[in-house]
Amino acid sequence: MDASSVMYYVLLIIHFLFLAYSFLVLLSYGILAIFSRKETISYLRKNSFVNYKDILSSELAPGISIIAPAYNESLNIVENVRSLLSAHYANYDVIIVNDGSTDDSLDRLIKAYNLEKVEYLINERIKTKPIRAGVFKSKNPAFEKLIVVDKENGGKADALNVGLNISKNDYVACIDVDCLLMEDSLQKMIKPFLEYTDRRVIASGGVIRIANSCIIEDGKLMDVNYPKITLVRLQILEYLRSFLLGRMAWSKLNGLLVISGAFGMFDKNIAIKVGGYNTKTVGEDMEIVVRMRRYMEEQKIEYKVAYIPDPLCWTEAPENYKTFISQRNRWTRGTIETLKEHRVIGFNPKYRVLGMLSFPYWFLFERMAPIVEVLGIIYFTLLLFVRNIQWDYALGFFLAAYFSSVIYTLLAVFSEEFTFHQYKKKGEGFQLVLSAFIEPLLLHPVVLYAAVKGNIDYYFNKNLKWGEMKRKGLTNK
Amino acid sequence: MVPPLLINSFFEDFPSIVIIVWVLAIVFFFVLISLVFFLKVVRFRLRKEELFVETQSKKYEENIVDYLYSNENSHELNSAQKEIIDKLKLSLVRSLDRKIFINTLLKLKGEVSGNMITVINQLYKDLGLATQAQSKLHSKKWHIIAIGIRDLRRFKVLEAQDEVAKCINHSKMEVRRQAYLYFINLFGFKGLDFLDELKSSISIWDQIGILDALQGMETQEVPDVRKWLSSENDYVVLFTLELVKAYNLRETQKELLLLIKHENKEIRLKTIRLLNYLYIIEAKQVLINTYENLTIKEKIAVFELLENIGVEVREEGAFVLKHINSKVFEIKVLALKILKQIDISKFIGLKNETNVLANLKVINYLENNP
Amino acid sequence: MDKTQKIVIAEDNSVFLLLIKLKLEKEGYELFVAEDGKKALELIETHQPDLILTDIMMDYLSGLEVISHVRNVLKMDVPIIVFSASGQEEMVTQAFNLGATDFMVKPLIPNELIIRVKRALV
Repeated sequence: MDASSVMYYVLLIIHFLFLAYSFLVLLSYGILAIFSRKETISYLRKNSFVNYKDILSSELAPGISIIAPAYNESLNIVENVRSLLSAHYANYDVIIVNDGSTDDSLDRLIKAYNLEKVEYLINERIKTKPIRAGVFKSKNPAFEKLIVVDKENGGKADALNVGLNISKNDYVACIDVDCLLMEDSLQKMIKPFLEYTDRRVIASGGVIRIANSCIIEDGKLMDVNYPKITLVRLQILEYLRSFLLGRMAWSKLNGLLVISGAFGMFDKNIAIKVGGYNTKTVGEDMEIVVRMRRYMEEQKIEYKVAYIPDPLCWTEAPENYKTFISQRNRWTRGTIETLKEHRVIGFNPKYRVLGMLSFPYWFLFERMAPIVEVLGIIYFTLLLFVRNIQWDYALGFFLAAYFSSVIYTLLAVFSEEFTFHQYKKKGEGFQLVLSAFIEPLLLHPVVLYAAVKGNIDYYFNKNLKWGEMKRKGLTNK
Repeated sequence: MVPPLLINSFFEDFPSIVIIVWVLAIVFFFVLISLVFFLKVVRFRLRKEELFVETQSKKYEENIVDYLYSNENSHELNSAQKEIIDKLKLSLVRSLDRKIFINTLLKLKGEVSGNMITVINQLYKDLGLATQAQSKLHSKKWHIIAIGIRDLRRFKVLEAQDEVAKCINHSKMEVRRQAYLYFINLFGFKGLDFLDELKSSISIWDQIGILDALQGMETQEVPDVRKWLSSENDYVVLFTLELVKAYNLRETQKELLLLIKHENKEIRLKTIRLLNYLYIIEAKQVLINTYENLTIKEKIAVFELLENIGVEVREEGAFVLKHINSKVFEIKVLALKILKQIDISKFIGLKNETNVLANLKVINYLENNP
Repeated sequence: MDKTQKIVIAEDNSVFLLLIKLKLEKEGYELFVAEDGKKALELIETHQPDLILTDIMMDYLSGLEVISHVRNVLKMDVPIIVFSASGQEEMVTQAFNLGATDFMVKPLIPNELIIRVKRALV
């Protein structure tokens, strides 16, 4: 075989690999869309019979602790805590973990809620950074649900672990303190834990919706608007796709790997048994779910990670590219770290769906996608340099990829229309379609850039921590 | 670098790839266009439907109130009422209309009581809606069956009980739940007899619903539940334990003490907690005797019971003392707490004896906090 | 009675509202209805009713806020009857502290409501 025919076969293989990868992506999206449709219909049917009123007054309602870590959130902390305290649920408390804030968060809380220091016996089942100023409770019985813990800074995972140690309830809802929780969210999230008798529900995940531009009064969502800022608009589509299509389908397959860190509920005893949140990763929300699942698989106990598609938790999305990129950079590193930490479950039939489906999917299409894409771009540029591009093929390929990605986004929009229908104002439909068309061209390159940066930071810049999120604040706009 | 010839020959060898890619692109394009168009239609329809629901609800509200007021004294239908029924029957042909109408009826039912409820239930039957709901029970789709039972339950259609009874052990939990609730809503505590026939499970969510329905009953005569405590279906036992708790049925004491040795650990745990709640002193000795066979959760529950009911006898005190160095944090705390109650000097004395930091922390805490 | 007495009802359940409205109109009262607390306050200010009926849980403004506004801001001593549901006992106590005159637990019997209304308007 001479050199040129070797070259020919190498090229052949490269081409087929790219083509096969694209085809697999397309196929997996198609399959996910079908499963998501099935699960959505079944969820809506089931939900139409549910009477949430019963649990509000029931003595059987299990105790839930809301754990909300806060780091330098003094701007909105008082308001945010008030919103957490107004959930409609009979038996819950709110644990605010002040993670070594350097601002006046604690003072503000003490003043606003009339807090006093109390002695509190903590069973330190998970090792954490020590308590700083102490544990506080309110002197006012109206705020008896509130517990504020002040500790030395140790990061989000460490703060959540303190909350796990302190909680006396069987279930914990871990949330970002700046999230706006719907009043009925606890009832909806706890339901799966109570209704299965043939398997143990270890966690339930909620949907995160984007609250920018929505009208919020006194911690209540009054009106949903489609925001004006393009970056936020495009993120909304991303969220719809991820929550209404992706996670919905994975929930059907019982293969959910992630529960969004912004709002998730856990069986506390299992969370503690596996050692709580991992303080060594920036992706602690994904990591704990994988670890809990792995534990259940190894113990051979039937289990489920449930998913509630209702819009229960609204959060502020980044409005500028810098913050956005640093957020996605962190997500990328979190994914890499989690998959690496638990690589033994990948393609391991012992772990059933988790090992044979969820893990490979995440590895191939989430972890590797940016790398494959960058390789593709490099290859394409290379060919461009040697003026060797088969334009009719390249253009056809590009168009097919572009159209299919817009189709997938539109399917998510359809799912939204048929289920929760939050963007119901006239004209918003057109805006959604328009955004769907520009999203692959405008947002995707940025996402890709952030992911590449995440990869580079992961391998060459190990000391990097959380990026700061600049908040404008959700309250009273 | 790559000679141009190679790439070209690649596509020459596989011309079909270019074609496939283009065919895909064109197909996707048309799918995309039709999706956009379809989305517009869907949004338009949704908006129209929302308006329709609003106007129809208003209309049915008026019809219903008219019907209720056109005859307040007699039980016989008068001509005005008959007229309204005929009019309604015509417009309730569409299923969306039926849904709106039923929702409106239910909306009213939730707010009024007394004779008006009977009149509303009768109107539901007179409109032929009860028969329709009954026919849903034969559907092959589970959610249709569940809707049928739900409506029969809400409008108290007694005639359907034999049919509904067949759904008690349905494979879908949503159907089962509606069936349970049907019997409770219609027959109150008497309806609990379905527990005799129950082969499938009752979840905590079901328990919450059933107990809530029972609490809403006018008569609160609780039947003898003891036979269910020895049911072969563990879920029946678990649910009955909740009944015992909700209605303080202390007469079940003998059966409860037997359940401490049940093979299902969930039943054991719940029983121990219940014995504690009911303040059954006799439980102490039984639990101490069987203590070593219990799981950690149950052991903690035993100490909670000892702490709550109190330790008086010397042997019980010795038992507690044995556990002040337990590896289980909760047990250690509870044991020390009990010790503080029964022998404060010994408790204080421990401070000097112990050199385990964790124990000292607990002792100090307990000293200051009751 | 030289003039018809005016009643404002605030209630978010539209069909129940209609039922009560017609019933009271039959008894000869003039009715003004609101489906939320905000609108109720507007009606109260413009019509100066002789009686207010309000549900305790409503959108925008709760029944409690309505009572508080009537008593503390408008300084009216018009009788107020509150509708509550079971499980809202705590709110009923609050309502009385704020100055409610009477309360009725839903589900309620419409005829009984008439009796209470008449008693409040004596």
